[in-house]
Amino acid sequence: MLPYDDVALVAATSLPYVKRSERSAAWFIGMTFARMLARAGLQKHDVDGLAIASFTLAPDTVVSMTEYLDISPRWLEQIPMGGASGPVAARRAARAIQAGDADVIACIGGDTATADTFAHLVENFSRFSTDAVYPYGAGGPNTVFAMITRHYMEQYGARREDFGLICTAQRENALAAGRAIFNKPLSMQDYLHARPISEPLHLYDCVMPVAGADGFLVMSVTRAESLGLAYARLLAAGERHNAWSDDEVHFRAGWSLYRDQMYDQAGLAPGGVDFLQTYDDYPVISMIQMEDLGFCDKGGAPAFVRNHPLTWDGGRLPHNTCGGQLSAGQAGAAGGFLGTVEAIRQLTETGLPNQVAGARIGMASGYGMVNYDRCLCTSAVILGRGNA
Amino acid sequence: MSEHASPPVARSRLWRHINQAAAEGAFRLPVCAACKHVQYPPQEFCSQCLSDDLTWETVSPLGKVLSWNRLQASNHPFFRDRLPLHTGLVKLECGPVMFAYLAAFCLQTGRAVQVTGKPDKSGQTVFLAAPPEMDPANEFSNILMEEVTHDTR
Repeated sequence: MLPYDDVALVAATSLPYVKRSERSAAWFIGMTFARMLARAGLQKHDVDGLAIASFTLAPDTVVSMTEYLDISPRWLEQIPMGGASGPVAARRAARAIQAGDADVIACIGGDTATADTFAHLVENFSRFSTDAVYPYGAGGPNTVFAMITRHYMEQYGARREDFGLICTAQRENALAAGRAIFNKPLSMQDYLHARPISEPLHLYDCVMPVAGADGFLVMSVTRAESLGLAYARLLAAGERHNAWSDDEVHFRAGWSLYRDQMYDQAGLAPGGVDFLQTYDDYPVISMIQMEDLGFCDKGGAPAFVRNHPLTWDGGRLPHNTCGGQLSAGQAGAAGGFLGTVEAIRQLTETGLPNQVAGARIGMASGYGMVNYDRCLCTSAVILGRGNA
Repeated sequence: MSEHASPPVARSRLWRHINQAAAEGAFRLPVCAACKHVQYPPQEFCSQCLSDDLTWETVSPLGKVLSWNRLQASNHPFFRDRLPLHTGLVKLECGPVMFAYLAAFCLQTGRAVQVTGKPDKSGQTVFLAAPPEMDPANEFSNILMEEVTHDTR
């Protein structure tokens, strides 16, 4: 596979999440775009590529956004992959930069949240879901991931306390980062005694739907350096969809099929990764990513989280250093960008309140679109500190 | 109860075949004439060999519970005063994996069950999973459409 040479990711930008908003998805995306330009010292017409992921932008699309923003790109992409959209956007934008199809690409995931957007979304998520999942109590993804979680617990001996280790560590990270909607400490007792939602899932296993947006700019290293910007290099990227479709219950996903290629491309092993940002719609999915991305064997994640602190300052492998969606909330498709944006931030900024000491290599993965009994889309990137 | 007396009614066009079979007390799913793959949820062509020569055939309703949940929060108002609800992920002997309401005495992975289609209060078919010798309909009377009886009073 062609290396991702000389591709820079810059201007990691998060619009603060809010629980509810009367603003449209276009506003969240537009304001993120404006902030990214300001951070990079660019004018809007310098941007000639735009990639958008959003559930609530409809009936508008990325095409509509060109008119809202009054820009005239020569490269447009809309990524209908929800939680997998961030790494996929980075990967596709990088190829367009390499090919010369665009010079500066803005990648943004953003969604609004009104009182009923989430209920509307789950009711109409896919045809299979409308026919054969939603009618059973309208639990939405909580029903599907309860099945996956119980199976994983019975198969691999994971306990609720193990999931709690992920959730409580992420809350510590969120408190350090200072941007999360959930801004109170979460103890293991709080986690274990939370109200049941879709057992075995309880309240703190589930993400709260919120409004917000996250984004970054992709350009050549030459351009980033000429602008004097701190950047992260794209060292490797992958995506794979609907992998392992014969598995009766979901316990592994596409990452396992391309992670070796990614490590080869980046010239390192999992031990060379300084922090990991997984897609945490439910803690069991973070465990599956730890396994499928090679940080432990299949079924080894419960032991892994018992033996690794996971906090931003815990050493070894800090995980979801901004608190992840479990603490920040899930801003629709922005949730698919959160990990990638946090990874870029860790590798391009200094003095963050949750700065991972000495981090030079980070990994972010994505996971999205529960079409029936599992999410189908997976993606991942390995990033390296550019010019620090 | 008037405003939310009905659970979600939306289904795809293909669901009418499921409803028809359930009304006849039958269990029929789309079966590929070319490779015999059984399709669920229903779709218009075979996901395995891509033939569109599918026929709705009677298939085995027997299966086993792969996993299950106890739902205590719902996105739809109809269900909110009917919680908790148990749903099972059922591996059917004929091939597909199906979500089905699960009888409370079957909350066990590996449990042998039979699925039966019944109209819920929206009139659309939902599947109930219970041991083959049991009729689960009574357990789900707050979800299901009342049985049509020929009461002569």
